[in-house]
Amino acid sequence: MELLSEQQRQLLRERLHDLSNPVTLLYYTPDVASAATRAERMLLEEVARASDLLHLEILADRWDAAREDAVGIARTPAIVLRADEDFGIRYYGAPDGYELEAFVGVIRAVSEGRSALSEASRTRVRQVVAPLHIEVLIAPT
Amino acid sequence: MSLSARLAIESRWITTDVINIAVLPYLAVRYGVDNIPTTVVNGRKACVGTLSEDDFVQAILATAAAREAASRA
Repeated sequence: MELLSEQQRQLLRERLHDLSNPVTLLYYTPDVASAATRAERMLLEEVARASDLLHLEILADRWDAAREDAVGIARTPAIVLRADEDFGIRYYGAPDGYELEAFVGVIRAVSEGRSALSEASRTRVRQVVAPLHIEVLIAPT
Repeated sequence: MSLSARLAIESRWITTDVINIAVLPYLAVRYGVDNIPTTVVNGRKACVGTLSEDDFVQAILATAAAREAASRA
């Protein structure tokens, strides 16, 4: 079975070929691989192939509490998206199906370093002066 | 694109996890998830479903404020 549809491959090509700045995808694998994590790794490899400015690093070592704590991940499998700056964006579980388009959008935004929020939203967000952690729970599609 | 990621890009105080509950099903139980997407702020359920940007930001900030007030009480 194909991992991605032709439509999804086209989405990757169209949205990622002209990134403005490098983006690194750090993929922390679990200690024990499964069919799901193998598929997740293949998906990330496909995504990374869409741009020379996308770099995928696979961290397949065993759980290293000090290293994981420094990066701010609490569990694996985990995907960290970062440019020169780490914006604190983590994915747990493959961003496949309908989530792929949103994931591509996040890669573009991280590359540009711009949120593209409205001025009104930016003004309100600037009022945040304490740690605020948002978890978004999604389902496989 | 994910609104939570936009907020994280905008503010160094904000971080976000996008969690596929198939991978971490215990979180769906912990937060009483009965619809998708469910958004949780500092451990408290903030909103369910897809909201406009304005409504999402409102829900996030209101939940964070309520969480902060509860922790002080």
